[in-house]
Amino acid sequence: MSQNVVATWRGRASLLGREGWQCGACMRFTLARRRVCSGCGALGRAEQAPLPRRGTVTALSLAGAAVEHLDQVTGRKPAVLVELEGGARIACLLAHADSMTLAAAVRGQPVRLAVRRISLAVDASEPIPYGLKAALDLETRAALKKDAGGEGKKE
Amino acid sequence: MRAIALALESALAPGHDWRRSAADLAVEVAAPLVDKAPIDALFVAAPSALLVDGQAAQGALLADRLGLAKLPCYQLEAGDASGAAALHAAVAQVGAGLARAALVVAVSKVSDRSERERAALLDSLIDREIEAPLGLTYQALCGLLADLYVARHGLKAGDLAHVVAKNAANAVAGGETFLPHAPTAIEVRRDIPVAPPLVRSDFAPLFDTATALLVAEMPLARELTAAPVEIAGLGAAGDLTVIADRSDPLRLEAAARAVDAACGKAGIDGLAFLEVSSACSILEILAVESIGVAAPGTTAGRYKDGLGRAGSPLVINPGGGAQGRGFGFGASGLEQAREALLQLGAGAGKRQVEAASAAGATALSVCVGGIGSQAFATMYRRAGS
Repeated sequence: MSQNVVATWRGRASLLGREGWQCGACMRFTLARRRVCSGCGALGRAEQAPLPRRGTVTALSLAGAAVEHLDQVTGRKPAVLVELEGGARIACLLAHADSMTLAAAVRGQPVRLAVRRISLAVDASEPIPYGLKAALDLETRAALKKDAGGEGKKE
Repeated sequence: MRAIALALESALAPGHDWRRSAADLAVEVAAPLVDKAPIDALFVAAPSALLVDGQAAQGALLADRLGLAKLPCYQLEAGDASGAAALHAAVAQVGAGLARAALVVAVSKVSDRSERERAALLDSLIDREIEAPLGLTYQALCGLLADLYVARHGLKAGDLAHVVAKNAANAVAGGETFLPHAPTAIEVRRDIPVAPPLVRSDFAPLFDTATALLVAEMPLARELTAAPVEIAGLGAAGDLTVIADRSDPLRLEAAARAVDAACGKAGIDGLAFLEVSSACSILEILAVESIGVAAPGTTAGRYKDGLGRAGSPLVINPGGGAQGRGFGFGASGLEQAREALLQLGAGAGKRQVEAASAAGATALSVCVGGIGSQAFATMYRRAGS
């Protein structure tokens, strides 16, 4: 994935600073800044605000890219939909996803937002893309690994 | 607005045609219409041109190659819904009296790129400011919606396979398809997981293709064909582009609003058939449920019981839609209208829907752009003599 340097700099608050936008009228959190609140219709009340840091995974998909004629899928990345505390929601990748068994068990699990490397596949001349990911707590990871039959020993 | 009709159609079979360029496809598909009708304006949908060929203003290039360079030419870009957007603009142009006849051409030329690069074409449909920098892709977001849908409604992942099975069955029976046979739901479940619970065949394959339609005021349409199809209503709407920001990610609000606008008080009762985007199975399901054809969580089960298939009370995608016929990036919305012209007009051959042959029959197409960020609904009516 290629990321434009200027766009990365411009979006640093949301990508790296875990900032979203909150309506001053209804307090609804959104990821995008909008002139009109999508919840209450208030005009010009969106203010940058820290996204709630913790939430619960409500959906998961291990999305990859199909390779033509080879019947293969490569580059799988676990994507999750997270209901954050305070009513916010984010779709992002899941950190600690080196174990697919672990990833498949995260539905319903608590996570926190963390800044992590988004992709390894970058050209040497491009900036390394960092951004928000959902990360499992150490305790949750340990419990899931235990349930997965010790798969975590490989990590 | 004056009575407006679809009069003439032409389409190329989707495939990988490395010998021909986008302009070659456009000329082949549109020339028969140009030769028959007095065209006043050209509307072009070719969203892949800039991404695949680096060609901006593809409309001007196509007008040049078609010998229509002196005409007003408008290019509409609404991602994979560009064809529907171009159709709506052409109808408005004719309806406003600015043209008697407008040619709408949609071209999808994608095979010059690898499959991975074609997948990147789909990634251009997601929010590039918010979602893409988080590492998300079109397929990942569709997978998340499907997973959320399955969990919310207590379904099994394999239940979604009935969407592909239905579209494939309609396509194979209808005769315009890339599929060698219609896979059953069991076969679909065995396909490669691409974005679980979605498998490869849940994503309509991107192909080279082109479609052309002639939109004309009704008197002219009657001169050009014995079986014009009236445009009975148009509706278009948008939604938040960031899926996580939507109140309910499983409701395609744009589709619901567009259909309400297109159908008005008449609603969706009594349709002879429905065309709905099938770029991805979960999007077809969510569109069908958001516009009120099926209750939330029931579409897959109703498809399993026969809803949507040829011969059912409401045929959904009688030609198989993008999943059954092949996905023309930006052409699928116009392909929906072509199906309406065939079904409600001169006839669609062995896939003809019986109810569409009745006097005054109506049909609806719902073209969903991206993952529901835009939708274009068009109501069609069989024109009386």
